[in-house]
Amino acid sequence: MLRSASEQRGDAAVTAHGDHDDHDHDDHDHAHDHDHSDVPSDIALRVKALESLMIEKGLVDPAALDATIDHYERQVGPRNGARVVARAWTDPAYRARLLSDATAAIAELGYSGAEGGHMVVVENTPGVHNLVVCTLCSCYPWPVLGLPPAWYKSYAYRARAVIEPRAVIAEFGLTLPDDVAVRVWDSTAEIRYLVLPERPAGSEGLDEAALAELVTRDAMVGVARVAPPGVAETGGAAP
Amino acid sequence: MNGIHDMGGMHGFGPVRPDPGEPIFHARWEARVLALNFATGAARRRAGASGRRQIERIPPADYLRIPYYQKWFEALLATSIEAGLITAAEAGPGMLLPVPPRLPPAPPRDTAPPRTPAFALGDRVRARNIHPDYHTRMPRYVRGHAGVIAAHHGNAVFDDSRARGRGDDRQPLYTVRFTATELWGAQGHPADSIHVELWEDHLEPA
Repeated sequence: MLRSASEQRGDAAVTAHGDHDDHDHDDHDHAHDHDHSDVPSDIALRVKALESLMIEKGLVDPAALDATIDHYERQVGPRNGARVVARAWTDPAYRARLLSDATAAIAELGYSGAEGGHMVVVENTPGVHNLVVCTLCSCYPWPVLGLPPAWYKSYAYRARAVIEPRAVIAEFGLTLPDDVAVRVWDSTAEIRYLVLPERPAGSEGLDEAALAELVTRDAMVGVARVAPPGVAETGGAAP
Repeated sequence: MNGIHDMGGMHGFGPVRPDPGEPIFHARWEARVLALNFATGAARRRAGASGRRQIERIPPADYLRIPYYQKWFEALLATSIEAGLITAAEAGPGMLLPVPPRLPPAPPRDTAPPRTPAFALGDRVRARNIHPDYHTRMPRYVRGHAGVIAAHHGNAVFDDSRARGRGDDRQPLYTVRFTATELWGAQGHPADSIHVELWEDHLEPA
C-alpha cells in the first residue's frame, strides 16, 4: 500500500483519525486501516525526547536539523549519479578521469560530501558486471545516489549479494550469462562504490541530458542494466 | 566481533524485496534520527566513539527485530553518553544497549612515521584467521581465505584500533579480490569474485 507524504507526517502526530486536515485520501486507494494510533509510537517518543534534550542543551541547532533532512529528502538522489554516468558515456576524457580518480571527477559535477569522500567507480563491460553491497551495515555513496533504499539495507541483500549475486540480480529481473564475470564489492572501509553501467544500444542519438534520464539507481548499484530508450528497464525495480 | 551484523553468506532471510514507491523516510522520527546523527557526529567521533561499534553490540534478537533507523538511534544514545554529550539518566528508559562508560580522553595524535606497505598489487595474501571480540571490519566470510591485492588505498585509520581506544594506528588499506570458489567452494560461480577492503593487520602472505 503506498502511503502519501502527509500520511507519513502523521506518524508522530498525536491526533485522532478524524482530525487530519492535511490528510488527502483522494490519491490513494485504501480503507481506513492504516496504522494511525492515538499516540506516537514508542520510538517516535524517544526520538522526540532526545531531540528536545539536545536542543535544550545547545548541542544541536534546530534549523540545521531541518536543513539536513531537506538535503537528503529533496536535494540529493540518484539523478546526481545519472549525470555522472551520462557525462562518462559522452566524454571519453571524463570517463578516464572518473575511472582513475572518481572522487575528483564526481566533484567536477558538484557532488561531494558525507559517504562520498573516497569514491571508486567500477565499469561494466560486455564481460564484466559489477554489484555493490555492504554486508556489515549499509554503506552507500550518498552524494551520487542519495540515501539507500530499504532493499539495499535488508538482511536478505546483505547476506546474499556476496554468496549468490547472480540469484539476487535475477530476482530483480536480470539474468547474466555464464560468460559474464560478476564482481561484487563489499564496502568494508571508507571507499564507496558506484557502478558505471554500459551505455545501451539505440542511445547513440541522445544528448547527455536524455542519456541521464535513462540511468536508474538500480543500474548504478548493479542489480540492473540500463535499458535502451523506449524499452522497459532490464532488471531493477525502481528509478 | 562475530556478531549478528556480520551477515555475508548467511541463509534464511528470504528474497530481496524492492519497494518501488518507497519514501526516503518511512516515518518522521527516522528523518530526525538521521539529522541528530549528523549534528552530533563530529563531537562523538572526536571523543573516540563509534556508532558502528555500538550498533554491532545491540543484542542479536533486538538487532534483527528493530527498524533500520532505530539501530542508529540506539547507537546515537550510547555514543552520546560515551562522548559526555548526555548522561545515562537523560538517555531515558528503553535503551537496548548497556549504558557505556564515558570514554577516557582520546590518545594523542599518532606521530609514528607512516608504515610502508607490506604488499604490492597482485600479491597473494590470506585474511588472517582471527576472531576479535571487538569492532572489526573484516567480515567472517573471508577469514582464513586467500586472495589477491587488487588495489592499494594509501594509509587509513584502523577502525579495530580506534574502537579499543588505542589511537588511529594508520596503516595500509587494500582491496583484496577473492574468487567465489575460494570463498564458497563448488557453489561459487567460477567466473565471479568478491572484493573486500582489508587493512594490512588483517592480512598475511599466502
